[in-house]
Parts: sequence; structure tokens; C-alpha cells
Amino acid sequence: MRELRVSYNTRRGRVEALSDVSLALNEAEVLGVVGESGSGKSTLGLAIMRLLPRYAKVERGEVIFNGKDILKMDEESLRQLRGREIAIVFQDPYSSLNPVTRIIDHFAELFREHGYNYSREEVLRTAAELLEKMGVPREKVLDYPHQLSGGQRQRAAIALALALNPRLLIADEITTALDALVEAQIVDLLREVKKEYKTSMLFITHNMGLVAQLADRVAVMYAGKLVEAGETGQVIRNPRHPYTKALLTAVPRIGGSRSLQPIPGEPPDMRNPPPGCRFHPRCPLASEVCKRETPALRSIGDRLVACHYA
Amino acid sequence: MGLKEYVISRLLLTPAMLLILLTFVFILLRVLPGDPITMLEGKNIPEDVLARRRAELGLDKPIYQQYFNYLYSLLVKLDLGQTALEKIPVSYLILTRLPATIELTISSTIIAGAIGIIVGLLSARYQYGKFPYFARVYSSIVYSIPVFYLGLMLQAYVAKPVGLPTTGRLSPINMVLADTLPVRTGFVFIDSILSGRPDILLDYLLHMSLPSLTLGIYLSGVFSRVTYLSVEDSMSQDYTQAARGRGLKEWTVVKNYGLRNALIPILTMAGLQVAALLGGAVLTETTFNWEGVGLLVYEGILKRDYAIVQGAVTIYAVLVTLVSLVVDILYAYVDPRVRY
Amino acid sequence: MRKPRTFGEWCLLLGSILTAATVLLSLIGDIVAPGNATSSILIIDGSRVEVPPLLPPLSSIQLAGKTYTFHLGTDQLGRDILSRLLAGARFVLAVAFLSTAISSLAGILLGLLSGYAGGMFDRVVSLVMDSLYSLPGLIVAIALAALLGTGLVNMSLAIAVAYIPSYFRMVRGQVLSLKAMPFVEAAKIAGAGSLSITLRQILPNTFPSIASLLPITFADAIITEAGLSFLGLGIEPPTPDWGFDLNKGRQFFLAGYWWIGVFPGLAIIVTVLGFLLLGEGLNEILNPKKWEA
Repeated sequence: MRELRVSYNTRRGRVEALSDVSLALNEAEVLGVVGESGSGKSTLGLAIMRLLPRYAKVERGEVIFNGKDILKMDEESLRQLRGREIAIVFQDPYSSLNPVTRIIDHFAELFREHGYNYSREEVLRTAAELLEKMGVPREKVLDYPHQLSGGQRQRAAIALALALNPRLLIADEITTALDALVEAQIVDLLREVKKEYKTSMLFITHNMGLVAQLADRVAVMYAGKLVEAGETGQVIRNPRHPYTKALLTAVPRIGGSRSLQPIPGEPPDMRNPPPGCRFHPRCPLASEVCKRETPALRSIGDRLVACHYA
Repeated sequence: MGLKEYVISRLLLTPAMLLILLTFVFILLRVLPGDPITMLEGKNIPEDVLARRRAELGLDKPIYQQYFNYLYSLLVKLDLGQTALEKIPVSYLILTRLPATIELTISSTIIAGAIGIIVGLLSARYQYGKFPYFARVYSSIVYSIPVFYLGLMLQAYVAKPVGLPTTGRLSPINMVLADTLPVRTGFVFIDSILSGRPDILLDYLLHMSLPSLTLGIYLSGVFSRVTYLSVEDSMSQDYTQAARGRGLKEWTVVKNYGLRNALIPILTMAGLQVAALLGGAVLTETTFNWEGVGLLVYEGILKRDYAIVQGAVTIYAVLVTLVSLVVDILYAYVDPRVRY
Repeated sequence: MRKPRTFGEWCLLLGSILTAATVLLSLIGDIVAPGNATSSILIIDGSRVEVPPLLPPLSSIQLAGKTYTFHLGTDQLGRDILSRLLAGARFVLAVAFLSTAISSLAGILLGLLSGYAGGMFDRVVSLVMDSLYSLPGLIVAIALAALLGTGLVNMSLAIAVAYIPSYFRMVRGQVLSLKAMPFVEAAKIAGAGSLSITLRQILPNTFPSIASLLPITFADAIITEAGLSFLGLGIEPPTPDWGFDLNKGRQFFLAGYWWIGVFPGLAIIVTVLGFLLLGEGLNEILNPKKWEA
């Protein structure tokens, strides 16, 4: 992804959700994208698949996948790409699945639309196997989505996303709506998937803890901008951007001695973001230069940071 | 639960619903203030004639007895009283006229449904283009045209030039012939086919074209409005975007996610609309002289015969119950959340 | 005032113009076209002059020395159609207004009571309303009109009954969902009585939905009224009425005298369309759908 800029045209004005964001993701690599609500992280996932709503506009940038720019593809190539090369799973377990269709028919539909002519028995077998691998009881394959629990629905959605063995899986806050136990199970599941299928993943979340368990590299977003990116272990042990530092202190740890330190202030109004560095109103290190100049993304070692004081 | 169990439980519920509806009709017809006899039979008729008529209709007895008689004669004896002048059993009259109304209802529903589905499909496929505006304008205008005016316009400007018949179910010759056919269910459509008389069938279809077109277009206003609203809603749901995200073709998305999910609210509306259709049938049948129950109601009003009006309203209540039964069953078939 | 931006705003504008025009015309009708709406006799300078029947539109004839133009022609009894249309407007709008008022008030009241009271009362009333709702509106109106008789009030009553369930359902649904909301709980804890809660907390929240339903009921009532009078129920000749005229016009239509039936029909269409558009526009403004993130 290079210099991607996406804006939304809402009733109350133009909101810039992604401001010239550049990211790279390699094969068999899991990239965690962390940020608060409104940081633009979900927009990122949708933009890659070109699933942005009608009132959104990609103003500039490229998204190169296997040498081709997704943003410039024609409709048919895009259609073939989706579901087969790149797949996405959403936050709401209910919203990925068709309420009036059985689970097996979701698979049948997917295969058919991508040109695979399997017989009914083959579809049944494949779907049941996939469900089982994802931790859902085989019998559920003939059920309707509302007959599955939230966690099972999410797993089924993941199974559906992986059915055609895509190169890239985008997981957009897929555990946010689930309780902690199920959340942990899903993360374990993704680790297994990564090991077995070597699928690259874009794991979008607001939870730094999950990123620590799963991601090889992490990208931190704030107010539509990428503020820090690097290898997960290193970023967590040694955060360079004040926002990343604050995020890590805000994560509660069982048995931890430190008290929770919330980040003062609120995320900015994206119709009118703060001038200069967008984090400056909440940053302990903020100074005059921070208010005037937007920090560029610099590389320090293998780390990318956008701060005047990193 | 499964579909079978749902159907059975729904069927068992029907008699109760019918009873409630009939009670309601009874209240509508008898308990409310107003004396149907003077109202319909005229103010200048001598009191003893009125009294005799009241006794005939059983209106001089206490309410509880009237209610009981009403239910008993209707459900057990299937008797709806007799017409004022000729003393013909009303139930017989209605039964002979019912097939015509049913034929009209079915053909109009098909036309309205076809238009509604096409509008819905196009609205879904081109939801960001100009089509939805056209759909909304269309349904608003059609809704505003009184059905009898539409019928009149069609009679004058379509029938004449094209040469379509404008009144009745069949031309006079075939009317007589129809009574002599070997198969006589009352449904000319069935009778003519099973008796091997394509000429009568053709005549019948020609006669039916305008009335069903009128009623069908009239209904398509509401149908298309509900369709595009429901489809608009289902197309904006998350599962539609998710479907696109899986690389499904746009038409597949429209069909399986947009229309399929929209069927649920559409079906609910459809049931109500069929009820409304029965009301519109009265006006259409009057306009085209279509010999159905609707025309019977009109004749009853003209002749000031309350027994006919009362009988017809009762039958409509029964029909409505049946239709809602069918709709509920279809609903369970379409929405799996209901039965599991 | 700015140019309408969305389809809903166009509807609102057009609907408002049409309905205002209709109401205005019905009120000042007598001044605009002081013709003979109810009889074939025209009083000119104190003398009674008989107007010829079946005059085509825009025909000017000499009556008692003066030239009179019948812009929409005369009907089979020599009555000026334009005046009849305007006088009919008054009647039709009055019936529609009364029916809408009765049905909305009754429906809202019952909905509030039933929704808030709950229990057996609610179940019985809901059952009655569901039964009423499932019957075709015109049929209910016919049954009642046959029972109640002719006249403006009776007709309005007959029509109103058919629309009560719509308001009932809408208000009851809102009451049920609002009853469980925290701010109602808060009011209860603060000591507010049931009546006060219902009136001051819940009722105002139902206004937007009610407001957008009112014009539609109005439009429906006009159509039902036209249907009733077409069938001959509810009005006493020679009261001018569009539906009734349409029926009479039917017979003369095929003989070539098209204006007797066509103009009342057009009047109905335009009036109903006006209220319908008004309702659509209000609906879009008061109940905006989600179109932004």
C-alpha cells in the first residue's frame, strides 16, 4: 500500500479517514494493525478489497498485490480476486453470513461463483472438514447461521474465508464482539492457520495484547496516519512513538503492579484534525514544532516512526 | 421445529383465528349504532314491512342470540340468509360468484407480483443509479389513480382501439355454452381446458385481460413500493458487502442476498395486499361488469339488500383468514428463523 | 429557502404545493367559479336560466344576454363541471380530514393505553385491531357505511374505522419499545405518575412517525371516499362528489361525453398525489435512513 488517502463524504462534511498511509506485507507474515476507533484501521481493510461504502472516495494511492494495483483493476478481475486471493472476515459474526442460507450453501455458492464445479457431496465433505478444522462441530454445516453461537459463526466465517486458500486474510476486529475465552480460541486458531497454510494476515484490532500473541509485525495507527511500524516484539519492548507507549501502558495486565494510565483527551474530530502532528493535543512531549509541522515517517533501524522526538 | 410441524401448528390455530374474525365481523355488522334496515330499505317503507324484514334477518332478537345464530347458521348450516326480493339463499349466490372473483384475484396478483419483482430486481441491481427514483414515482402515481378510473381509461383508450371486450367474463354465446360444458367447476379457466374448448378459453382470456390488468397495475403500485424498500434495506445490510467480499457476481448478490432477504417483509405485505385486493375487486368488477362477489356487493347496495352485503363481508373475512394462513406458511418456508 | 437536494425534499415541495393548492381552491371555489354545481338552474340577474346539458369543455354560450364559458363543460343534468369539482373538493377534503382526525386520535389513544397498560387489556385490544387490520379497508367502510347511512359524518366514521389499526400499531410499538428505556425508568424513580410518563415522555417520541403517516391516511381516505361514493354509499345527491360523478360519467363516456368522468378522476389523482408526496417527503425528513457511517 502506497500513499493511500481515503475520505468519507458525510452529511457533516468531508472526513479524511486515511492520510497517505504506506504499508508493506510479506508472504506468510501476520501484520497487526492497532488503533483506537476512528484511527482508520477498518477503512484500511475495506480499501484493500475495494469494499468501501458509496460515500467513500480513494483520493490517491496504490494497493499493489502480486504486482498489480488493486485500485486500478477492472470489475471482473477484482471479483475473481475477492474470496480467492484475498478474503476478509468482519467484526460482527452475524454480518458475514446470509441469515436465510444454510452454512453448506455458503460454501456451495462460493465454489460455484469461482468456477469450481463440485458435486453436492464434495461440497458437503469439504465444508464439514473445514468447519471441523476451525473447531465447529461437523453437523452444523447443515444449519442456519442463527442456530450457531457467536463464536461458531465467526469460525464458520473464517472457514468460508479460507476455503479457497487465499494468499491474504484480512481480519477486521473479528474478536471484538466475542468474550475473552472465545477470543483466545480464535487467536489460537489463527496461529494454527498461519502455521499450516502459510497465509498472510492483516489482523486489525484495538487490542495490543492480541497483536503480541499473533503478529510478526505491527503497525500503529492514529487519526488516519501511520505513526509507528516494526517487528512486534521490539515495538512492544521498546516503543518509540509516544502514542504507542501510551497504548502499551493502557493495556491491563493480570498481576501487573502498574496502575492503568488512560491516555488523556479524546481522539480528534476527523473533519478538522489538529494541525501538525495529530497526536500533539494528547502528547506529553508536545512542543511548538509538533503543532506546526507534521512529522514524516522516518526509519530508525528497521522501525518506522512518525515523531519529532523519536 | 421444521416446516411440517410449523404447518400443523399453524393449521390448528386457524379455527380460532376464524372465530375471532367472524366475531369481529358480527360486531361490525350488528352491534354498532345504526339500523341497517331503515338505512338500506328506505325511509318511506311502512313500519310493519320493516318489522317483518327485521324478523327475517333475526334482528329483533337479543344480541347474544343473534351472535349464536350467526355463528351457528354460518359454520354449521353454512347459511347466510336470503335475499330480500327473490328469497334466494345468499350462500348459494356467493358460491356461484366466488370463482370469478378468485380468478380475478389470482391473475391480478400474478401481474402485480411480476411488476413488483421486476421493479425490485432493477432497483437492487441499479440501486445507485436513476432507477429507484423512477420506481418511487411510478408507485406514487399508480397509488393515486382510483382503480375504477384506471379501468375506465383502459376501457376507453385500450379496449376500443385493440378490440378487447370490456364487460363480463364471456361473450353472451359462450356464457350459455359454459353452462353446458361437461366439466363445470365454476372456474371458466379450468372448465374450458378440461372440456377441450380452446375457443371458450381464448374468449375468456380476452375478457379477463383488462380487468386483471387494471387491478394488477393498481396493486403493483404498492407491491413495487414495498419491494424496492425491502430490497433497498437488504442490499444495505452487512451480509451483502460480505458477499461481494467473497467475490460473488453482482447479480448473484442481488438474487441471493438482496431479493431473498427482502422476501420476508415483502411476503408480509403481500398477504395484506391480497386482502386489499379483495376490496379493489369490488370496484373493478363493478367497472367491468365482471360477475364476481364484488359485483354482487354492488348489486346488493343498489337493491338495498343488506343480507347480501352482510353475507359478502362474512365471506371476505373467511377468505382473509385463508390467505393469512397461506402467507404464514410461505413465511415459514422463506424465513428459517421462524421454524427453528 | 434553498433548492431541494434529495428526492424526499422534492416530494415535500411538490406535495406541499399540490395540497395547498387543492385546499385553497376548495375554499375559494365559490368565488372562482360561481356556477351551478348542484342544479341545472343558473341565477342570472334574478331570473332563473336553464343551462343546457352535455356541453363540451370551453364552450361559451349565450344565456340571458350574457356570454358564459363553461371551462370544463356541463354534465348530463346541465351542471357546471368546474364548479362541481370545486364544491366536490370541499366535501371530499372535509370527509378525509374528519376521517383522518378520528382514526388517528382513536388509534393513538388506544395505542398509548394498550401499550402502557399491557396485560389482558392489551391482548384483547391487539387482537381486535389485528382482525380489523386484516380486513380490506374498503370492505370495512362498505359494511359500516351501509349500516350508518349517508352524510358527511357517517361517511367519515365509516372510513375512519379502517385506519385506526395503523395508528394503533405504530403507537403501541413505540410505547412498548420506549417503556423499557432508561429514561422512563428514571422518570418512574423520580416519582412521575403513569399518565405523566405516557404523555410527556413517550408521546412526543411518537410524533415523527405519526406526522409522516397522517398525510398518507388523508390520501387513503380520499380514495376510499371516492370508492364508497362510486358505489353509491354515503352521499346524498345532489351533493357534489368526485367518486359519484365518476360513476355517472362512466355511462356517458362511451357515448363520447368524456369530460363528465375524466375531470373528477383527474381531480382525485392530483389531490391524492399531493398528499402522498407530502407524506413521502415528511417521512424522509423525519425518519432519515442511515446513509452515512
